[in-house]
Amino acid sequence: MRNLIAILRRELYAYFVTPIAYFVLIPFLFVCGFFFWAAFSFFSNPRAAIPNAPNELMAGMMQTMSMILLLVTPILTMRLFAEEKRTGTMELLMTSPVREVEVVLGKYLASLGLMGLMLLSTLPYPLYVHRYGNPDNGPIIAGYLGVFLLGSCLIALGLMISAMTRNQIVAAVVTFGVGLLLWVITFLPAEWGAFAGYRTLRSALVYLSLQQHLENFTRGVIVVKDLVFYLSFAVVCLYLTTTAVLSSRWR
Amino acid sequence: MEAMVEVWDLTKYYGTYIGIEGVSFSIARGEVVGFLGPNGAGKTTTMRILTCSMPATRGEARVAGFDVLRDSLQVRRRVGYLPETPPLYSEMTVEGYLRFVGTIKGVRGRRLRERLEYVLEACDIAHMRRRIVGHLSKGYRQRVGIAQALIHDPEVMIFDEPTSGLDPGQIIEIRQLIRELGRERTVILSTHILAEAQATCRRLLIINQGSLVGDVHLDEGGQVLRIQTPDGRQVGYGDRRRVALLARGVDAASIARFGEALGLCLEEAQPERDGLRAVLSAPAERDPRPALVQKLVAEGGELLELRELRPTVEEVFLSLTQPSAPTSTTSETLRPCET
Repeated sequence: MRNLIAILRRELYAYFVTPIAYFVLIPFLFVCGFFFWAAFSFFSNPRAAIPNAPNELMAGMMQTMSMILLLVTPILTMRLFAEEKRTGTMELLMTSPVREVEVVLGKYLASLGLMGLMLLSTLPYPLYVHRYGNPDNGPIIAGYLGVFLLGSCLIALGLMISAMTRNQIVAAVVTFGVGLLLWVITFLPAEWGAFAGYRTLRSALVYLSLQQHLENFTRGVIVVKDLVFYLSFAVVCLYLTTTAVLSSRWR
Repeated sequence: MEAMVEVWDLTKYYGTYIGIEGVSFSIARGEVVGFLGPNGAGKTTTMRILTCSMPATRGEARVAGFDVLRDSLQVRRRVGYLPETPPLYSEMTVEGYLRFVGTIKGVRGRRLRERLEYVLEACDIAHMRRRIVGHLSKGYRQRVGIAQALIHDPEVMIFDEPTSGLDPGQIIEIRQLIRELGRERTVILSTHILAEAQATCRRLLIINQGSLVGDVHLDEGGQVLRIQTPDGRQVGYGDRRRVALLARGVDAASIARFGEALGLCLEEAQPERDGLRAVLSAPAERDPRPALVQKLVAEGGELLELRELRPTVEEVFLSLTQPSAPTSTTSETLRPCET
């Protein structure tokens, strides 16, 4: 446990000293802010008279934030293992009395912490909406939970891919590619005549879509199925990461 | 003597490429052992297996009595390792880095503070403690690397080329430090600088093309004491002792004659400004010098110099790693005398 905390602290230190944290946090807030401003202007237009505008605005913001997370989490996770392998510090960790799972979880929690900070710094948006409108708090809290869970999946995915390469750029690009694929998988056409089992296959694939499971959260509904999906996605990625790290001991 | 490092039949294949094959040795507590060998001989491979950073294909290795595969965590607690490139986090300060390494090596609280001060002092980096590792020069980075290997006071220390990148003054300091550590701890270091091995180690394990070819023991002065080879092959001067002398008033023929009467064999004779320089050899069991001096004086010669020749580390190293190398002082020149 102390090893895990030592690794977590070192990773957070590295995030803020090599200023990756700021390079991620600032663009994230800038882009979120831009979308919020644009959406706020749109929904608050008295002539549009959109029903349930404050709630629609916040639900839209959740989707936006999750989309921007898809863009920035590969940058958070790319160096986690790839850099250590390239500089040789991985050998320090591997020859220290530290279990692989402690290394993996330490790094994972450090990234989660930074992502949590990113989401916390968007709290002014709902507060601002509260000032001018009357949104329901339930969907906002559930929405943040959903976005956080979705981000944890993206980070677990990025960590896993970082553990499989020693090149940070490769780690970032592959993470983004896989993340995007899991996003757009919902765009599969509902019907396709090429083979018989298509509809079953489609529903299985669509189930894997990260974004599709966010929908219920933004409506204020926490469905067990979605919770289980996000948690198991993250756990499977972390398990595979640990295995990838361990595998250097068999080869 | 308690064995701190034991290795049996250690073998590592990288695909079809042989890293090391059938390496066996044992190292006691308080020994400073040098791994010596040409580049690519398998020094780093052996070290990486001993530090649990890589498994062996076959064979067994034990460190401090623990198997490197089955009790890996126990081994890792007791080993300090400096890889070829020091494993540094360039964004951290020297002190922060050493604290981190200490923590993950299991050193905590007051003990960590004490060890931190000790390693900063021992590696002479105390004045650099607040500097960022990435801004340090190569020599300082190397010393921070050595410091991280010592932070948890390990029983076995494994250094892969510890003095690379250091200036001569620093090299002497680090050798001194290694000798001090070697009094109570076990130190294994790899190097391809023979003078360094001679200066720091009392025992050299010579590795060539993945196999252990020689186990050389040195005396306090770094002179070769005895050589063991796995196949019992004779190297250096084999089972003979050699004596070099410089004498006036005798010629080569007379030395050869009375040398033969004493059971000595004349190998080389060469006139010099002050007299005749000659090399004689005798079976290793006895010291030929007293009888030789008496005989020479009785024959009317004047002895100017007399000393026993010992194979140098360079000669031993070359004859073990390049068996066909034409070295002037190997057994080849002795062949007429051995029969």
